[in-house]
Amino acid sequence: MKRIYLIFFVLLFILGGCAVQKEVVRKKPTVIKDTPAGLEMETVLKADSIFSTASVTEADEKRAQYFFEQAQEIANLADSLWLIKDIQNFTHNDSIRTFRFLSQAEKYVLKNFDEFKLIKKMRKKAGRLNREVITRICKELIQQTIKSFEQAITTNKFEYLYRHRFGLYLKNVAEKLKDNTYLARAGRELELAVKDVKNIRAFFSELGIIYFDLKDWQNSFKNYDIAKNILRKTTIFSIDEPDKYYDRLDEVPVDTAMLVSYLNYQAECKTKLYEATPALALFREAQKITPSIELKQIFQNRLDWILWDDGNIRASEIRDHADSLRYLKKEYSNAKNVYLGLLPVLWTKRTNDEINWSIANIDFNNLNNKEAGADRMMIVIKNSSKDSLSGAPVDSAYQRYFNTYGRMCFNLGQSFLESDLEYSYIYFAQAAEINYDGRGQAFLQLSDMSKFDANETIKLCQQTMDYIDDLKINEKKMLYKLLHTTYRKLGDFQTSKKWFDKWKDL
Amino acid sequence: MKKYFKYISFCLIILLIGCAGNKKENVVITYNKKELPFIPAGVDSAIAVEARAKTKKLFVSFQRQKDANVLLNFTDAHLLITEELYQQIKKKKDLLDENRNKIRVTQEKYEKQKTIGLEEKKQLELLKERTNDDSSTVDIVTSLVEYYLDHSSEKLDEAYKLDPFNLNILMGLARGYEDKGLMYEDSSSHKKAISSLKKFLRYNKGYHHVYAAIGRNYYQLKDWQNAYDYACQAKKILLLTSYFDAEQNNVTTDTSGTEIMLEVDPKEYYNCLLQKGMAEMKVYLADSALSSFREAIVLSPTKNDSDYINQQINEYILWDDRNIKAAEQKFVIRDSLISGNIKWAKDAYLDLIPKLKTPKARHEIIWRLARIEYNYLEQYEEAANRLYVAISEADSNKNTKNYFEAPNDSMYKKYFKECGQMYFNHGTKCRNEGLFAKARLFFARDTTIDWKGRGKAFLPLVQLVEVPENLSPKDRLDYRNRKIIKLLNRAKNFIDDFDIKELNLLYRPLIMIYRQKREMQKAGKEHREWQYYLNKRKNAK
Repeated sequence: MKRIYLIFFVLLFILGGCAVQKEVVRKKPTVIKDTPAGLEMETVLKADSIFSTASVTEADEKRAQYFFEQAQEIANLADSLWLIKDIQNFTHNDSIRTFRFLSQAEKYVLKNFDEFKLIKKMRKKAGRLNREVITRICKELIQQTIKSFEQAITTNKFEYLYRHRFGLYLKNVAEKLKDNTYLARAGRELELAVKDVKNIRAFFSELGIIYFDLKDWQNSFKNYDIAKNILRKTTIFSIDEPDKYYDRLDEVPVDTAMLVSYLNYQAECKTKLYEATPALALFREAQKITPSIELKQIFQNRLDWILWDDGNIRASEIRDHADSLRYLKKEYSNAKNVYLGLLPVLWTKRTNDEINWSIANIDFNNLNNKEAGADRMMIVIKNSSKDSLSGAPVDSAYQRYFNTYGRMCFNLGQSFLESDLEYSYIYFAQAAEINYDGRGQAFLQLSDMSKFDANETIKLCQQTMDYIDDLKINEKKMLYKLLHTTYRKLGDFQTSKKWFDKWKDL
Repeated sequence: MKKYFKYISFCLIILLIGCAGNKKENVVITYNKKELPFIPAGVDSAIAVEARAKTKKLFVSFQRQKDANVLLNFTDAHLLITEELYQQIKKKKDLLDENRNKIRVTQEKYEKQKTIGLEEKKQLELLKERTNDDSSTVDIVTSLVEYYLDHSSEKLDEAYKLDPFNLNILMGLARGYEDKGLMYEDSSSHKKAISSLKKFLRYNKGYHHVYAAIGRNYYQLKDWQNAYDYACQAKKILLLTSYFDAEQNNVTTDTSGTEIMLEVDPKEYYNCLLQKGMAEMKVYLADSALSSFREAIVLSPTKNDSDYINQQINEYILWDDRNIKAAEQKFVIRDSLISGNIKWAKDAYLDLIPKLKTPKARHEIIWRLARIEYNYLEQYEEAANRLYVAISEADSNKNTKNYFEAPNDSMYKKYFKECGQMYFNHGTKCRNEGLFAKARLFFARDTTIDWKGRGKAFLPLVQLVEVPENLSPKDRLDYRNRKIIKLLNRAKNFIDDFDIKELNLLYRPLIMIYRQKREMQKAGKEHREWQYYLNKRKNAK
């Protein structure tokens, strides 16, 4: 009986061993075949040694391919489920699809994992969408994909395609999960891939974009540069009648869309590196090459952005930040502080004036610091070049500052109407001095306030008449009425009647 | 007494209102203006300095404007009350003057007669008492009006100091001064009003009522030419500016009730026309005045207004066919007469008579002169003769009759009556004094005047029949009887005017004469007639 137990125990042990063996990747031992006929043993051994460092066996190749395909399958499944997660109006068809995907997912997830239980649970309630659960399943599938890719790469380390695909997949995952660690790994995988293959443009461009996303501007620029060179140098192989260009390789027609894209990224990298001159050159080149009007405009905007403070990219960035604080976040005080911090950094007077204008606007409109706003604008306007006759700004871009200052003075004048007439009059007088779009209204207000002195009123009304087209109907009525009453005061009833009729005709 | 209490309570209420308003007086207006920098933030200093300098000539601070307006509104209310009170006092004063005059005349009359009846004395005492009551009421209200006027002027001065750019304050000031001038009859107030209004005109020439107000004040100052000039200007400006101020429904109705569409505000235009007419009268532009008045009558808002204008036309312009000066003199004389300046009045009337253009006016003045002579100067004969000449002129058909017939005019009827009365009374007086010839003459003249007592003049003539001395006694008797019968038969023409006593005086001598003459039939007839009329009078009673 003891012997029977012993035999049973040994059999069990053998069976257990067999079960464990199933999971272990059994590496085939290098079998030195018999030396082929006619070859020296030494030569055979040398060749065998080279083969073992530069290639894998056919079986490993197949296994690697298997892992690679499996990885792609799981990746596709994860992508499909990921898409389902984002469906807003979940329909019956969607639930059927979900059911199918979950069934597929079941086999890729280890049964002892929580996710497996979840899948089971989800399948039972296939009609219902639990985004959180699906996200968890997706994440598990992603991990399985990564594992499969790794297995494929480990099995066949000479297949650059696996690394390339793995890198792209990691990039994709990084985007999905918003996790830059995947992106960094993607970069590493692609770097390993391009080590072996130096002539595939896409690898470098993809690497460029990964570095771009990783904000590694130097590396991104470098890879795009390589991609650009490959593009330029290899185009001749993909065109019809290449022999035409043998003596003038520079004129080979390249894929402009691709080139523009590379130039754009390069320019952006240089922008991020605060190197205005190369950035401008690259943007200009891209703008020149691209046939698309929209793109041309986009590049022009970028050029303008860089040139906003004569190439002071950092200033443009700070301004954008301040603008976003002001317009998007409505944090006016913070925005003002950022603008104020920007002022000493600026290179040109024009941008200095613009930022002062922005600060003045915030002061006047948002921080209830109207006087400070007007004060700041006064300095801007005072220091700007004006036409000696009309008082209009020489630089038409300054007209908006003139308009702002004029309106500020006018509004201040109105705000003082009930508390301090002198102040009010002074502000209106100041507004009337400015060549801005509401000058007529300022003159009209002054005319109204000067009612006691008929001659002065008429003089001011005549000045208002110069801007009659800018006045609203009510303001026109007010002007005509004022002229009518003033001429009446002077005893000039005929002229008074003329204006009276005009007033009544409106 | 009830009325007196009513006035006192009214005054108390007004005083209370005044006190309520006066609360404002205690409020000290301070200008603790928030300290602001001389040059406002964001303004160029040169512009600020220039603008600030300009503002000094255009307006004062908002607070000062507001305070000035408060004072202006406050005084506006005061002036309204004052004007209303003034109208009441004016009426009361006129009544008082009338009563005082009545008392004076009555007292003078009784002094002359040296007797007074008990009932009359009682009435006189009552009138005196009422006059004293009214007088004290008027005094209280007058002092109240004075207080408000002074107070308003003070406040308006204050308002003007606060905001010299507010022309409405100038108008308010002028109104206050004008009211003061009217109430105190104070020319300096009118002058001040004119000065304020002219100041207004310096800045605003477009409103007729400013010219009208100046004209009114000049009128009060008796500066007729200026009053006329400004009234004309007011009308001109009103017509020129009516286009601006015209409301859609400038419709009024004339005296016949017909609707008239006007381009001007009828009330404003009426005031202008009236003022212009009055001023034109003062500068003796009779035709213009007449035309202004006639236009105004059509627009007059009430019947009283049109009556007043008609009165002006009749009393001044048409009285002596546009001889306004004479009409004015007439009123001056009349006023001096009321104040007891009788001799001067007589001389003035005498002086006026040759200046008159129309007989009617002359006759009126003669009548007035005759009345003075008769009533005050005891020049009875002169008065009656003067009036007799006038009435003899008045009858255009005197040659066809043996008496002077009064034209169909109430005034002439009055002259005739008064002339008749004068002759009758004076004739009676002469007869009583034994001056039979004179008496006879007066009674005889009286019989030639068409008046209600003409018939009665025949009766005393019966007693005063003059018989020639050279006749025999029988002839003298016959002559006398014939004359008496003739006179009494003429008197019979006025039998309806006779009372019982006069009927007796008529028929008794007539029946007696017929009896003497043994003409019994005639005597009987006269007797029946006498009885008939006596019964008629008795039945009428």
